[in-house]
Parts: sequence; structure tokens; C-alpha cells
Amino acid sequence: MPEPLVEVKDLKVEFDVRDGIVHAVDGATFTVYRGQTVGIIGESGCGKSITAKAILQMVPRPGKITGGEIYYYRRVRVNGSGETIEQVNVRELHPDGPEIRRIRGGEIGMIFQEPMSSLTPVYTAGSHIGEAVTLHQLLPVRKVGDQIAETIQAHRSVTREEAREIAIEMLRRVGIPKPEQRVDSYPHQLSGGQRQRVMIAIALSCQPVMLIADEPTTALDVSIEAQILDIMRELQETVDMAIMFITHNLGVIAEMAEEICVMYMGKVVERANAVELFYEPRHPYTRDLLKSIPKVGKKSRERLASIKGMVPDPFHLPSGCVFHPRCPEFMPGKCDRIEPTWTQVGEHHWARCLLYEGV
Amino acid sequence: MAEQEIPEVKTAKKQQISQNYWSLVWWKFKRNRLAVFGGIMIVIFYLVCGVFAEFFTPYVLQYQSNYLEARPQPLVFKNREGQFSLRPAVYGLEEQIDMVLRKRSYAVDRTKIYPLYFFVKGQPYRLFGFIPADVHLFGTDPADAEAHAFLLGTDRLGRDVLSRIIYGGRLSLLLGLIGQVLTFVVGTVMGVISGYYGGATDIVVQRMTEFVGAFPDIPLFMALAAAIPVTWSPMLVYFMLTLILVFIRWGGLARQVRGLILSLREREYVLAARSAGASDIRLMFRHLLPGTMSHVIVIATLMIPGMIISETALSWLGLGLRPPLTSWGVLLQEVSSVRSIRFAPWLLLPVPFVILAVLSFNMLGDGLRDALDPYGGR
Repeated sequence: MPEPLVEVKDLKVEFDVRDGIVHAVDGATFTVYRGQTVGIIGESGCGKSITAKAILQMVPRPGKITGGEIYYYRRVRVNGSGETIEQVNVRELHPDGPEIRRIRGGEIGMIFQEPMSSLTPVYTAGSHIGEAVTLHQLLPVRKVGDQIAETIQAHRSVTREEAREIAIEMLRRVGIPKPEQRVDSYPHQLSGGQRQRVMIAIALSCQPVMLIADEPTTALDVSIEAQILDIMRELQETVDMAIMFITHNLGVIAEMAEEICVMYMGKVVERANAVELFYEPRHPYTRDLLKSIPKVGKKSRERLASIKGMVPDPFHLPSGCVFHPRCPEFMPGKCDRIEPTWTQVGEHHWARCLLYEGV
Repeated sequence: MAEQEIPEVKTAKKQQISQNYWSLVWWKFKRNRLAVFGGIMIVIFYLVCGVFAEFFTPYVLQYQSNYLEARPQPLVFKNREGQFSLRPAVYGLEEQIDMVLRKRSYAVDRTKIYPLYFFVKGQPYRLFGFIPADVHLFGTDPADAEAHAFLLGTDRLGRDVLSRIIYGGRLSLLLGLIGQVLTFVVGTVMGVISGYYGGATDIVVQRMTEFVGAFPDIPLFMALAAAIPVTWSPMLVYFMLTLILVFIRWGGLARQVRGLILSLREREYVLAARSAGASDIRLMFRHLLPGTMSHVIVIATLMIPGMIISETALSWLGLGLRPPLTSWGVLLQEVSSVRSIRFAPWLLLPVPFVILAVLSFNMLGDGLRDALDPYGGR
């Protein structure tokens, strides 16, 4: 039984804007297990990024978490040898308090879509990594004559020189050539791929137990994308870290994720392990999404399938199942009236669709 | 020979690599002659007036001669015998009574020539307030008690105008600098907080700046200056005046900073730093503030002359500094009558110094504005 790391239960995030309330996330439920990669896919504006930000209590204003729970399970060393697991309810933490800041960056790292603008232009690559390290990483203080005892209680923060050394080491690990020189480079002196590597280095420098990657390769070209994905997978293997991978690129997610959540209009509509989801999609939305991938070797002149209709206006969501106006298997009288619930459709496969509810 | 050449090549290459931002700024700044001139003038002003005023003045501040409202003595290049000499000298002054105006005046007495000596031992003073010294940059022969040299004349009490201008510059220029530093601190902190937090904080801070800005300056000044107790020492009055100026002027800077922060806080790197665990304070002052600095430095530099002018204007109105403090405004206040302008026009000589200082700051500020954006056009 894998150990849960982050558990999101029925999360609701609302944006109270002038024209009404937008339900950016409306009942997202999923669990990320230790060391596992979860992919989250969906169209633009379906609430993927907001979900990720909610986990770190970083929902931008005027957004607010209005419902649901987010639990983070922290392994705590108990004096002696054992470990216990402490449950932290992220929702209850002050958004600028020390506790959430310890989680942000220290225990859950995050990388963003835009590597070009994600580094503060006035600081070097090294000082960015150094900042993350000095904020979070504590070194054990070894007392002379007490080398046998491994129970270390005292901690001190990393010095400037140590932070620099760690920064160089991290840059080397993410595959930046000549890290001793690049550590002093300013963001404008780095290419997009290098900047994203620096971002990954920042996120990984404190050895987080989970990495949230919010469309990390969207802004990069395909060859750099492949390199970045390789680096992430490699590093994941060496440090045993969970990854929450957010993207709208189905190819990337097939390559990266073990488990996939499909989101539509703020709801998780289907969740299954990657292989099953690609071979046996259950929700009509997922099926349409998979059909819209262009395939090599298809007959020429055949039109690429696309999901019919438009993404609904967030202020006037359709009644019943939010997907029903676009659904090829729309059942009149049912789908526009009844809101589907979260139903188990396979051994490790859930969907939110009336087709499986026997209504 | 060959061995000597190799290191040279290496250093040249190294310099080429390290063309960082500040070296580009310096390179661009250097090309702007006017800005360099302004910068040099300001350095000279602060060295001469601010740091070493006692050394550069021929007379100490308290010195009163027997020559009241004496005209400036022209410089000549003659020795005591009246022959040409490289050593500059001044003619002596001869007292006359103008029977028509019933007034004492001075005429140049060409028979008396007082050569000027450099680094002469003159009236004793304390450098920086604690190092006893008596060397002045120039002065008349200390052995000759009769000798006097008032290059810019004397005032009603017989004090050397040149010395007074240099001493006056100390207070005026320092007030500009200290006041601006304080304005800079208050303005940026308030601006950053206002722009970063937004919402109610923003509204409160912005209404405060508007409230202060909406006051008519001079009545506000009169009220605040009247609130300073008369019993306070001149130095305390000086600092209160600085604080009052800061209070009136921080709003403009705060608004500029707020505007910049508003645009910067939406950048991805703020989000990224936040997700790396940076606190609000850290985000504000480590990640956002540096991005506004090139703009703020320019504004701050261009605001210093305003400070100096304000002090001069207020002191002239009698609202700012008062004797025995000596500032450019105080000096000009003494010529606030037609009589002094008619009979002692040299008392207006602080004006060119004020203009020169203000222009130098403006030139420096303009040069900085261009230089701090080295990647921009022009």
C-alpha cells in the first residue's frame, strides 16, 4: 500500500469577481502518493494551475478556497529510530505564516510554465538557488566527541559559501554545462532551457518530497522539452520524490505520469492509472480528448477530430453535467438535470459520468 | 618579453567577459559629458562645503572684521612692489565716508597690496569637529595683522561672504542629502507596502499621500515651523526642518514606487519566489524593490535640488533656518531689502552657487536616467 503524501478532498476554489462567482475548482479530489507521478490534464482554464497553487496556499486574489480539505502528510523523525506521520491541514495555515513557508519550497517545490520570467532579473542563478537553500536547508551540528550518536537535534542554517557550493552542485545535476561559471550568470544571460533547468535546480535544492510542475515545458521547444523531462525523471529516481505534473500535452503526460487526473471546468472528471486511461478511457470527455491527438500514419485528408462546441462561460455553467452540451453521448433528460457523482468504474479507475451510474 | 605579454592578454579577455550591468552603466554615463561635469561638481561641492569647509574658507565662521559691507577685492597678479608676479594678491581697502548718502563705503587702495599665500596658518578651527588645525587653503600673510582678503566682499557685520557661502552650502547641501535619504527610505517603504499588499492598505497609503500633497505648501510650512519650539537648539531646528521637508515630499516617490511595484508584482518570478518559501517581507524588499531601483535612484537624484531650493526659499521667508545657523537661504534672507541690493549687491552671490548646485544635480540625474538603462536606445 503506497503511502499518501498529499490528499486533496473535494477542493473548491472560488473567484468572487464583479460579474459573479467563478468556480475555478469545484470538487477536485485526488491523492498523490509518495514517489509517484500524478498527471493532471485538461484544457486551458479548467483549474489545473489553481489546484496546484491551492496546495501551497497560493491562490491569487480574489480567489479563495471555499471548501474541501488539503492534507499534507509529513514524515516526522521521532527521537530514537522510528518515524511517525503528521497530518497537516494546509487550508488552515496562514498564507504567509512560517509553517506554510516551510512547506513551500522546502517540502513541496514548484516550477512554472514561464522559465523566461520566473527568475528575478537582478539576481544570479546561484543566488536564486542559494536563497532557497538558506531559507530551508538546515545542516546538523556535529558535536566533537559525539560522532556515534546520530540523533541530531541542533540545526544551523547554511552559510553563504556552502549555499554556493550546493548551487553549483545542483546546476551540475540538472545538466548545465560549466556550472562554476553559470552560477554567476544573470537570468538574461541564460537560454530558456537553461532557465528552466535553474528553476528545477531551485525546486530540487531543498530535497522536497514533492514537486509540482505546472506546465514546465510548454514554453520550450521539443528537443529541450525532452531533455527537461529526462532530467526530471532521472532526478525523481535518485531522490524518491513525488511529482504532480500539470500539462495539456497528452504526449508528455503519457510519458511521465503513472496516474492521471482529467479535469474539466474545475472538476476532476476521470482518474485512472496512465495505461488504463489511454487504452480504456471511460468519460466521454477523455475519449474526445484522446481522439483529438494527431496520429502518425493516419489516412491523409482525414480531418482531425476535435471536441465540438466551446468551453462554457464560467459564469453560466450548464446544469447537470457541465460537459453535456458538448458530449457525444448526451442523454436528454438525464445529463442536463442530474449532476454526476464520483463513481468507481474499474479497479483503480473513477469517473464522473452518468453513464456509469445506472440512472 | 613573451612572458610579460601573456598575462596582459588574459586580463583583457577577462574584462571582456565581465561586462556586467554596472560596467555598462558606467560606460554609458562616462560618455555623457554634461552628466560627468554635474557629478564632478557635486563631488566638489560636497567636499568643499560639506567635509572640508573649514579648510577651504579663508576665515572661520564666527570671524567678524572691521570692514562692514566691504566690496569684493579684485584679484591681481602683483607683488608688494607693484611688479608682475604669479602669486595672486588683493588690493587693500580704504574707508571713505560718502557725504551725500551719509554712509561709510570702501574704495580700493592701490597702494596696498596683500599677496595671498596657499596653505597658510590662519585662524584655528577643528576639522570634523574634533581635529584641531589651523591651515587654510589660502589667506593673507599671517604675520601682517593689517592684511585682509575678502574676495567676495563682507556683509553688514563684517563677515567674509565667501567663507559664509561655503559654510552655508554645508547646511543647505547636507539638508538636501539627508532629507532625500529619509524621503527615499520613507517613500520606497510606503510605496512598496502600498503596491504589494494593495486593497485597503493601498487605499490608506494613497489617500495619505494625496492628503499631504493637497496641502498648500507654504501655510503648512508656517504651521509646522511655528510648532517648533523657539527654545530648541539651532541643530534640533535644522533636523526638524529636514523632517518637515521629508513629511511633505515622500508622497511623490511613494506613488512612483507603488506604480512600479504594481506592475512588477504580477511577474512570474514573484510567484516563483513565493513558491520557494519566501516571506512577504522578503518578496517586497529582495525581489521587488531592486527592480524599481534604477528608476527610483534617478527620481531621488532629481528631487535633491527641490530639497535645496525649498530650504533656501523657506529660510528666505524666515520659516526655515534662522541665524546663527548659516545656510544659503539664511544668507539670502539678509539681502531681502532693496537697501542691501542697492549698496551691497555682492551679498546676492549665494544665488549663483545655488543655481550651480541645482543644475549639477539635474545634469547628474539626467545622465543617470540615460545610463541606468544601458540597453535602451540613444
